[in-house]
Amino acid sequence: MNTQDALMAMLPEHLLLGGIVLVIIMEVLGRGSRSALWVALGAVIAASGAAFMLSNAQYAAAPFAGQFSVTPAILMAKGVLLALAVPVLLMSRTEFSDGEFSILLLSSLYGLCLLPSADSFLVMFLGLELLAMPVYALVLLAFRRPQSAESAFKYLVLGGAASATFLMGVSLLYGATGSMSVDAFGPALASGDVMTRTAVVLVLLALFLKAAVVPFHAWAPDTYEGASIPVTAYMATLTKGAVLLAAVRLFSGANATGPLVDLLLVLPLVSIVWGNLAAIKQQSFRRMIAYSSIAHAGYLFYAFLGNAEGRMQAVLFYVIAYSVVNLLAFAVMPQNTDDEQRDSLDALKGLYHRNPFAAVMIAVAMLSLAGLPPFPGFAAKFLIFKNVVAAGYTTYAVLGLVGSYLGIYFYLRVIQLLFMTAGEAAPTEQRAGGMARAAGVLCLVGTLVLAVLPGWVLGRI
Amino acid sequence: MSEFTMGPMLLNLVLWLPIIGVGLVLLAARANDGLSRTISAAVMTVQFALTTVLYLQFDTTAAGLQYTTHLPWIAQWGVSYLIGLDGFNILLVLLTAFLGPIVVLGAWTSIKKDVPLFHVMVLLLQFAMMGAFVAQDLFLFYLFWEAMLIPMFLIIGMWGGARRVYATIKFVLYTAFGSILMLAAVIYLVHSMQQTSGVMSFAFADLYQTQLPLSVQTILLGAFALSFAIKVPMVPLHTWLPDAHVEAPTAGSVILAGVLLKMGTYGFMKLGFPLFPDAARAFTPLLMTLAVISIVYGACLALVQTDIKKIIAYSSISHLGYVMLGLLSLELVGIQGAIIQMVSHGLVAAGLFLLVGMIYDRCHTRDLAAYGGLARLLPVYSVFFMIFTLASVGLPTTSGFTGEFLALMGAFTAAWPAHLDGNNLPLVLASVAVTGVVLGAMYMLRFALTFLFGDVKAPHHSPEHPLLDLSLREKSILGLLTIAVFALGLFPDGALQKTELAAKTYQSLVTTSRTPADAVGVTP
Amino acid sequence: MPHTLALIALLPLVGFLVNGFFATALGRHRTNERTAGIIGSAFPLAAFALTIKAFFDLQAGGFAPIVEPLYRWALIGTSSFEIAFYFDRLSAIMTLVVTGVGSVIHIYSTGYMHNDKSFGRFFAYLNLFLFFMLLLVLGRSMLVLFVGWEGVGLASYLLIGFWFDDLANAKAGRKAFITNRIGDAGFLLGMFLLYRAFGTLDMDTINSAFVSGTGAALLVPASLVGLLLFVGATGKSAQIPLYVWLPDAMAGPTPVSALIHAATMVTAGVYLTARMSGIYMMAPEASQVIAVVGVLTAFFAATVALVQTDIKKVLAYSTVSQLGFMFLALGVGAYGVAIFHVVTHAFFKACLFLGAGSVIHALGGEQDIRKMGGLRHKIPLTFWTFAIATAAIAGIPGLAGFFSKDEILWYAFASAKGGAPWLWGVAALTALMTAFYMFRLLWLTFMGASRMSHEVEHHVHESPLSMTGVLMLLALLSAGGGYIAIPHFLEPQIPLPPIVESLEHYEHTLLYVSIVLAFAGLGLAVFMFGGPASRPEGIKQAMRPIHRLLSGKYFVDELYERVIVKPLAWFSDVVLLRGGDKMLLDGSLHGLASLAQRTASVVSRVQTGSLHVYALLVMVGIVGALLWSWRHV
Repeated sequence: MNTQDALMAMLPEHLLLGGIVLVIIMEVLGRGSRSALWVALGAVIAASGAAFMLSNAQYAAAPFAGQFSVTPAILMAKGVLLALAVPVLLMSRTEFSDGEFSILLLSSLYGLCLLPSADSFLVMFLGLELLAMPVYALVLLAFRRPQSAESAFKYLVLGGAASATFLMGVSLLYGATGSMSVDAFGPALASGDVMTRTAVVLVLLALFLKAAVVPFHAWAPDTYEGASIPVTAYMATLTKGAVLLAAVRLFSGANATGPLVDLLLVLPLVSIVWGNLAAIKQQSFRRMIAYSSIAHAGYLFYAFLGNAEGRMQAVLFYVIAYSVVNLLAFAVMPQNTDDEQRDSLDALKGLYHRNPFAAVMIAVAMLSLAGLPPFPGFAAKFLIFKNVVAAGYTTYAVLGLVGSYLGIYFYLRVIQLLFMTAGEAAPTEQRAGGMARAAGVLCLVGTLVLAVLPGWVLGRI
Repeated sequence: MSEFTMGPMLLNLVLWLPIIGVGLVLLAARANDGLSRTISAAVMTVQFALTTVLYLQFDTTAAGLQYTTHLPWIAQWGVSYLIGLDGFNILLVLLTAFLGPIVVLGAWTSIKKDVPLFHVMVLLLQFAMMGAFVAQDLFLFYLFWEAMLIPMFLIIGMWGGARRVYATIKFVLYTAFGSILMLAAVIYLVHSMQQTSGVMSFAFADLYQTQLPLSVQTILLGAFALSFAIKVPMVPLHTWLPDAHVEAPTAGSVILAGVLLKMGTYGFMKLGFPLFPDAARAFTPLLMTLAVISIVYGACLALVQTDIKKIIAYSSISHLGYVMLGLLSLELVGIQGAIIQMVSHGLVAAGLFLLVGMIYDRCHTRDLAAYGGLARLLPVYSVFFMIFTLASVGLPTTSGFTGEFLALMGAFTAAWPAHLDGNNLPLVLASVAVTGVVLGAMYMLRFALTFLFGDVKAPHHSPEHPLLDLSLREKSILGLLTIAVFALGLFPDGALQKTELAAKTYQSLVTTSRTPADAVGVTP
Repeated sequence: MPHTLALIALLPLVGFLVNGFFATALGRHRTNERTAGIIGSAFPLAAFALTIKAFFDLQAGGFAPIVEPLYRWALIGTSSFEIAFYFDRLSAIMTLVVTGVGSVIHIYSTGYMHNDKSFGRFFAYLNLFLFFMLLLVLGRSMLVLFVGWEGVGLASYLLIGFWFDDLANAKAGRKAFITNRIGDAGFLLGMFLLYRAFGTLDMDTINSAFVSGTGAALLVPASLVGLLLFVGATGKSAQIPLYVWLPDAMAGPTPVSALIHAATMVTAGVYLTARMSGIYMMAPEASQVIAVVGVLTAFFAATVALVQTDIKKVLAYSTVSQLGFMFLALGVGAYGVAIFHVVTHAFFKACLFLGAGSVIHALGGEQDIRKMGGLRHKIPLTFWTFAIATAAIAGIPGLAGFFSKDEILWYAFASAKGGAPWLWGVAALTALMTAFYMFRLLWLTFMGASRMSHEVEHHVHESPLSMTGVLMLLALLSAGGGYIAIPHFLEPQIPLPPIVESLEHYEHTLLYVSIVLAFAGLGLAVFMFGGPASRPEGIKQAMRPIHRLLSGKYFVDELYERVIVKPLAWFSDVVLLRGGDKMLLDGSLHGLASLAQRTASVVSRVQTGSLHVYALLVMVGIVGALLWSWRHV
């Protein structure tokens, strides 16, 4: 390996690392934690910018052979996800004045960056853990809420279970193929012998657990509810996206065929239906989003059916579209000192008359999540189902669509509360903070771009 | 002619004007409500004016698209921004543009809260409806088709009556269900076209070439038809309509009855039947039966309603049955009649809903029994009411007659040879459909009788505070509609010439089989 | 003038618009009654004048039909629908009657409607009616005819319900409209069949095609078309089973009854059948049906007329009965004779109605003949004109009615095209009844002692000249109208049916018989009502059940109410609305919705919040997946 490659290829990671170190130093020096956020922001923007530039430069390299490699596509994915972290940081401003948040987020992002580049299961495992560990702490950070501790604990335990399953699968796979290379996964999909198959199943389920696919979803609602808004937003969007990218990396090249494919048909379908149904009954906004994210995990895993080419694109596009609008909704959520208040859907009643901008933004987000045109959610869904049909699973495509139909109702319910129901503001309610609104505007721009120029975006990812 | 080079630009302008309007209204939103009213009225008027130019310049001798704009949009999927006018949509586009200002003026005083948002929604809806009509690319069409939902959802839900939330959610869930299956069908259709011909395109023109085995056509048509039949609506998929109409504000009802319902029949004419001709012909008996059932069913229900808005709502179901009948006849006369009937119903239902709205603004009740003898009280109002009632009854010299007469005639011209070949179903259906003419008179005249005649009776009316007859604004919008109604009744020839070639195209598309010679083709 | 015919039709329309906009509430009654009256009458008179001019043009042209296209209504594929007018012997007669009688009735109305608060509206409607009626008789294509056909229906609807403050009048109007619509449905079907066969609706084309029996004519059975068109005729011309609206139509002002419901509109069906004679000549079955329906209608209506006590109701049923005679004539192929009777009937029935109007006017709105009597001295002009018209309709020799009715009876008996002795028998009996009830009416109204209350009697006065003048004119026509030999005038266009040779020598016998019948009716009436009042009472007692049946009009209205109207409402309300829409459709939808809700609560109940459950779930998931993955190895 040459150092030059090592530097270039991992430039985004290095920048993040730099940011972490810088923030820690500042914390140690006790120099105003105010600036921590700015440093973090700078690091993230720089990292994402670097990723974009490298990708545009068609840069590809494997600095650590068999462990870590980058291609333009992968760099693009990193850049996008890192860019999505910017709104998260912005909206964290109101909640977390101190540096820990920045440190933890940056390190989680570091793990995130490792995932799509991972060539060996070791790196991938490292990435997964590095992605998850800080989030346990982040969930805990929201001391305001009694549930926070419990939520963090649940997340920790089930996350641990996921890691265990993953390791189990990996070791079995190693036993079967004698290789730690991720590329061993693809062929193993089709293989017939029990051990390999078990391995594959375990690895898959580990991913399902991380991405909260039914029946491994149970942690999500509680955790989302327990965490504070920015953290929930982060979990709902970036961590999920990262896991899916890991999955893409795993399946790389391999066409999803063979008997195990049924796992990719049935469980996602179940979580689409399950998530959309369960969401109907929720009274808390974050729980509702949790279930919606469970449903969306289902759509995302649909993308793995059929041929490999276009999979990365489909997943990434979906992740972008889905995350942008999710973040949009979270960003413009009116602040409220009493977190219960803030979280309950009733707090949204008649919001349009108090805060039209927020109401409209939330409405846009909901419609996009519901997958109604002309919002980006539609294009994303269209792309995925197009692939599903192309893969020959028309029936499942139809079922999936019908499942998504079930979802429309609860998204509409939010709009109904926003616009059609009279309601007073809670005394403690105030508009979202300035930076949060800035984040909202960023997401809005993203949404518009995705809605108006999907072709342009698709051309780049 | 066709030296009309600025056509495409003009059509784009017509399409996007409402969006400009939205921008202006948002800017003006801070200012007083009157400003946003004026803006949207102005925008709509300009749009209508421009559309009229397009209509007059429309070349009746050219079969294909006119004023076409074709830009690649999502190249990866073969989706393009392809819009244009042809005989299929020219009249409906004109109708939409014509109703635009009328809707805004009609809502001038009756909408009091959240006025800017209301006009934003109306303009968005106008944009979506225009788009759905001018779109010549299936993806684009679907986009606009779905985009109509949300503004309507809010218009009913925010400015509607007591049970507005129930009504509007029912409306969206009903419609969305159809759309979801249609989406699946769209994806599958495009995919299989790519499979067979290797072309990845959503352009109608290309899709008209697809060769699909009957089984596939059947399933796809099923999905499309469900979505369209809900919009029309055809019995038994109609129960959203009465609720939506009753709860919607006047403007909402006018748009709904005036344009939105036509989306369904237009969909059948432009997509459903021409895309899957063999399935269409195979299922003509079923669809025709449903159409006739709708005619009679709607009329019967209109006969027993006590809510004046519901009477008109159910009459819509009945009247659109004639459209389906005409389309399914596959006779030139019938098709032409169907197109005219679409426009006519748009005008007449709009007029009736406006009239109902005007009386509702004055008396605040929709209970038929609460009224009586309005002819003494509000002579001008009553004259307009009588005119639109008769138009709805299909009295000659009104547009209603032109539509029903030609559509029924078409159904018959098709039915008689079938009868001679020993297939009596079409003849029976056509004959039953004619009874709609009688039932129509029964329910509308029942309405008129209790409403206009007998002892004077009206809530909020007292000798010292008598109800006011129509204002100049109200007179003028009803006057405009009346002129249109009679124009289409007395001189339909001009309009018919514009659509003649399209009708022929439709006829040939649906009558020529397109199943692959060797029944290859991907079955789902 | 290039557009004479169009002008004839359009002039009344102008009158309608002018009066409609300026003499009604729309125009806040800008013009006063006088101007409205003048405008309202001037346009019909102008139309009449033009018609006469047109007639001479026709004559000058050797009675070659004048075709006058106005514009193209629609061109669809190859078949074009032209708005064109057609003027031949038949439409000439009809147009003359419509404009002529129409004009005089307008003049009469200026007196009759004096001081009515909606004077202007009345003339507007009356003009509107003329416009549509003229379209009906002048149209070349069935399309134009149909426009007029439905249009006169509208006008009659508006005029019957003219005094709409009383809901009963409006109801009567609605009944007329809807009953007519039922007929129109049949008419439409017939038209569609013809269009299918010929690709055009021009009646001259269709007729000649049928007569010559060319290819297209074979596509559709003439009898079917004929019957369908006849269904339309039964509606408009008040034949069984659709006659029920006409008696109620008397709710309208009397001039309306005279013009629309006696002289012109109700004869539209007769005109249609005569106009379409080409079809009926080829359709013996249809003609048979028409003859039978006609004669039965004539008979039953006459029986009802025997016992009516409302002066206008008597005349109404007599109109139905007379129309029956006309259809009898049509049924046996004597189209010219039917038109002949249309004309004479227009004269004497208009005269009768207007006379009745004059009586009602004199008595301040009283219509019950039991409360009249002895009016002949108080309103002599009305009496004499009424008497002449009565004699005419009763068939007293020398007067108009005699000629036309006698010819009908003769053809009913001897026509080779479906004539039959029994038809003649029934018709003759009806003629007897006609004479009887008409003279009964005359007697109870004008003769004998007064049965009026005093203040009514005190106010009785002869009507103004505008009314009596018209009465005298019409009486004159009722007397002399029979000498216009219309059948022979029409013969070049519509030949009279051949006579069965074996029956020819009966002609004079039958002539005498009908004369005898007329006088018998007169005598019977005089005998019954000229004497003491106990006499009719006694007979009434003697046949109470029959009397009840007749005065109940055979309870047909009640029957329709029970068998059609009520069931329809019940079906729509209970079966379709409650059962179909609410229970079945919305019910199942709400069912689905609540199902979704329930499933939702079930699936969200899994979310207990306890970690054990979640862990268990995960375990189950993993183990399940593994087992499943091992299933086929």
